[in-house]
Amino acid sequence: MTPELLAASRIVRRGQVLTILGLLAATAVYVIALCYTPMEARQGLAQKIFYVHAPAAWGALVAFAVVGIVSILYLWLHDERLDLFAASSAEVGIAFSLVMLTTGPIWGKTVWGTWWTWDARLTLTLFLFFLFVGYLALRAAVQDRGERARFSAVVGIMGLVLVPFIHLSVYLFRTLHPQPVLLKPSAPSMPPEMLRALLSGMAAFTLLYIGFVVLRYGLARLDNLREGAGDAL
Amino acid sequence: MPFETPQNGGFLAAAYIVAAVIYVTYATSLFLRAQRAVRQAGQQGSGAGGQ
Repeated sequence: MTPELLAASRIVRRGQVLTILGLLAATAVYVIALCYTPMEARQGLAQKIFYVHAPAAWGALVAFAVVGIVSILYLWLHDERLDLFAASSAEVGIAFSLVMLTTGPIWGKTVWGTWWTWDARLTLTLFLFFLFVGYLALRAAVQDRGERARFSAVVGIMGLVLVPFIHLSVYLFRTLHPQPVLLKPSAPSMPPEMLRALLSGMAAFTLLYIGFVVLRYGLARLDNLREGAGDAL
Repeated sequence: MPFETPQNGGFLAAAYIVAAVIYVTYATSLFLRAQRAVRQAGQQGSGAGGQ
């Protein structure tokens, strides 16, 4: 075994361990949210969707912000590993976005009375999701490694520009989407039991994001080695 | 004004199940792809070592 192969296999193993820990932590959040948080009187049990929806949104925005930041570093340093890491984070971000974009409408249907509304926050989030689906499609379409990395880095940076705009969209536009309860200048506006559940969710799903992205990065390194061996033949 | 707490536990169950299915499916896909990639890389490594 070559040292590169050993290193990639080690990253995969670490990713597997972190992913299992993340899934266990997420399970614990489910239990905390369902059994140990009070029911909100006006929204009923559907309010507890928040403990899954908000961490998924957090995971997705962190993932896409990481893509943009690592893409900037790639354009600066031209290290192929940075490109692979950005692509891994993009794929994981899409998984988190799918959770965000499915749990949100389920909550909206019972609280707003509609599955979807074209307001600024929802529309921009959907746009970001499609941008990163396009990012992965672009990577699959371009054969040359250097060109693929360069083109996708530019798209990744465009996604990074959208991230703070999405967070601020509830202040900039008239929107149905609730205002942030955690990431805002003033103190969190939640009862302590709910806040604990939300913070546990944030921590658990951040761990799951790290597990997914490390595992996906190890996989990308292995694929890259195989691709390189194929090119050499 | 008095209000009645809505009975919407079904929406909660649907959201939690959908989220769990997406996360577990993605994790399984990563594990399977990683297993295959490690096996293929191992075969390639041992093939190159034998030459």
